[in-house]
Amino acid sequence: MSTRSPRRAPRAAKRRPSRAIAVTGAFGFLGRRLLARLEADPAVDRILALDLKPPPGLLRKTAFVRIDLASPRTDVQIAAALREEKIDTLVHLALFFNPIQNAAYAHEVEVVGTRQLLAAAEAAKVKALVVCGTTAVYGARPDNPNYLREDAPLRPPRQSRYMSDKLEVERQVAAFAQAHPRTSVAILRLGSMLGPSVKNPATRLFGRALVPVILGRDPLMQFLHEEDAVEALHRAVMAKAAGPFNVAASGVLPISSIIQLLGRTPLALPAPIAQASLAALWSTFGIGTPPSWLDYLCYLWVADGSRASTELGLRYQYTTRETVLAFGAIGRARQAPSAEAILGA
Amino acid sequence: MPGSVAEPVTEPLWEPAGAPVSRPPSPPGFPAAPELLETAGTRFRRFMEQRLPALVEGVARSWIETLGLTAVPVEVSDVDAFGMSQEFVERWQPVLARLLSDYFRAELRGLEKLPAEGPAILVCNHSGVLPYDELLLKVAVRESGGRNGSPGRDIRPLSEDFAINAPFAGSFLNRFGLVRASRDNAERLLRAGHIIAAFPEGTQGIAKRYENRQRLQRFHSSGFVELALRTGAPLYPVALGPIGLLPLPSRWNIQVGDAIRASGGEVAAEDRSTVARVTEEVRAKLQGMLTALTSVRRSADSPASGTRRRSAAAGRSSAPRR
Repeated sequence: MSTRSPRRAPRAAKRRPSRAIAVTGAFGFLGRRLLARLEADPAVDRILALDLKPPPGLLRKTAFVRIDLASPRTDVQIAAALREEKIDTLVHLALFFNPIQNAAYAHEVEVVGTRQLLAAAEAAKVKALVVCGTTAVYGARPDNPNYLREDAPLRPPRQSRYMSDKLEVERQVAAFAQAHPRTSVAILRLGSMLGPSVKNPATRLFGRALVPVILGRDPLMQFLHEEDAVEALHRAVMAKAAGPFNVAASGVLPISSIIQLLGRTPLALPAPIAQASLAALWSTFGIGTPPSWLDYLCYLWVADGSRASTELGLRYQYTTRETVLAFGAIGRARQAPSAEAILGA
Repeated sequence: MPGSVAEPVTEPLWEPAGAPVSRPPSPPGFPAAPELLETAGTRFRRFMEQRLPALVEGVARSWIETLGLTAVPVEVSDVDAFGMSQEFVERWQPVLARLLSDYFRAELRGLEKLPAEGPAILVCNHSGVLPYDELLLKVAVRESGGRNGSPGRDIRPLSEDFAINAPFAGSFLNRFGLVRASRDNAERLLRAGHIIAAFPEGTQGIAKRYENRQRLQRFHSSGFVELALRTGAPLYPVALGPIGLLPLPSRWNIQVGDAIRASGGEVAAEDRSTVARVTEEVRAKLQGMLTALTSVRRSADSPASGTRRRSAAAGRSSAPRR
């Protein structure tokens, strides 16, 4: 048994401060913030931080175990650590938010790493699992409805290896949930994020003075503030949520309005030229974004985040417009707050 | 050699036409000590960090201004949940209303029947090859006016995929209030209390042959009836005419029929026979309105051809095709 006392009380009842939570990717930009919240949460008894990097500072409730999801047989190591700390909830954040050049390594971390983690969760019999996903897995398609619900088909661009890894993680997590009905398995599909510390294709696109857009295309877009993402993760962990949840702020804005709000200059390129330049930059210089991502600038991929509101009680602090304005206020010189600054607070 | 790389860039030989490039203040006559120590590498890095972005931006700005290449027809500051911008609608409404009254010489009838608030479904025929009727119906309803001189309601026509996804036109239509036709979108709009306009003939209605232009095509979808049953929204048949291949400057009619209230709720929406019966009721009413509209119009235009066409149209409508 991984818990000290049998948990027979209904989920809604006031919980004793006995939660033990493990977080992978604990010192990434989301993990650091989640850890700070869990540290401050009196309902959390202890935390197990799993990451490649050592912790940036001293933490009160947190124990640290160094893991490398890309190396073989990490599952044994993780399972041992989970058992030792009597972990009840495992949060998986050791995932990429940004496509990287080394697709083979990304695959190892995302797909093989998640498989190992799920094996460890099974071996240690955790009660709840929260995995971080993305609404980009729905894919940007001309025939998408204006608001994608959690049951919408997942149709990301086929050529993108980053996206096929994300899709594979979704499949693995869904299969795990089906095989383990007694474990609450939640996947939080986070909307495209903008914020002070996140680095992703959107922050790169809108961080520049000159924003390349597709000529004649002006789709509605939606942005999530990273604070809301952390809030959603925290709530999902505490509520032992189950199933897929879109975490997507209310409100939409066309790309042109976002560029206007941020005071940037749009550079409208015909689609074939944009495609060719992206392909050249990505494959030759290893910079930018894979060309298969252009669809996300052409078509709708706005998600309906209301399920997270009703079932997790999540109150989005930022609308899309407020997220964009907050991002604009950071300015071009973006400085990620140091881990010490967050955790020391 | 790094020196030759840095040379042309510290003092660019040409400036882009258009927006001025911000230039750091020129160094004093005698270089300060740190500048003497500055290597070609740091000069190059300073160029990459400070001068190049400004240079590229200047060139791009002038290019954009010269060629008029901006992302969209008109920039807007905010949109509603389905992409309509009030600001955009107000800007384009007078232009399009003028087109409707002067070019199409539109005759609007029965628009006062539409509810002042709450959801409703307009069931319309497609009047031509191009989906411009979706846009013009929206213009007409807004133009017809609400109480005490305010503009009419902003209806949300459900548009064909190819129109709403067309480059340039698609974002124009979306900012003006059109929404991609899908059941999910329609239901969300109705639940939010909007009036939607459905074109249940689908693309068939646009692609119909010229000799069949009077004939309402088989309804591609009866989803609008299910939605009406589920949400309790009244159905209004709306006849748009004349039916033409191209947007010719012929006299236009927009006629709103009496409301059909489909009751029964969720249970009836699941029942195929109820859905089929209401669908047929709406279709028959709309076909009747279209037939009447055309015969009146034909006889007014030229009496001789009018009689012939009237009988032809009447003959068709008596045996509706399935």
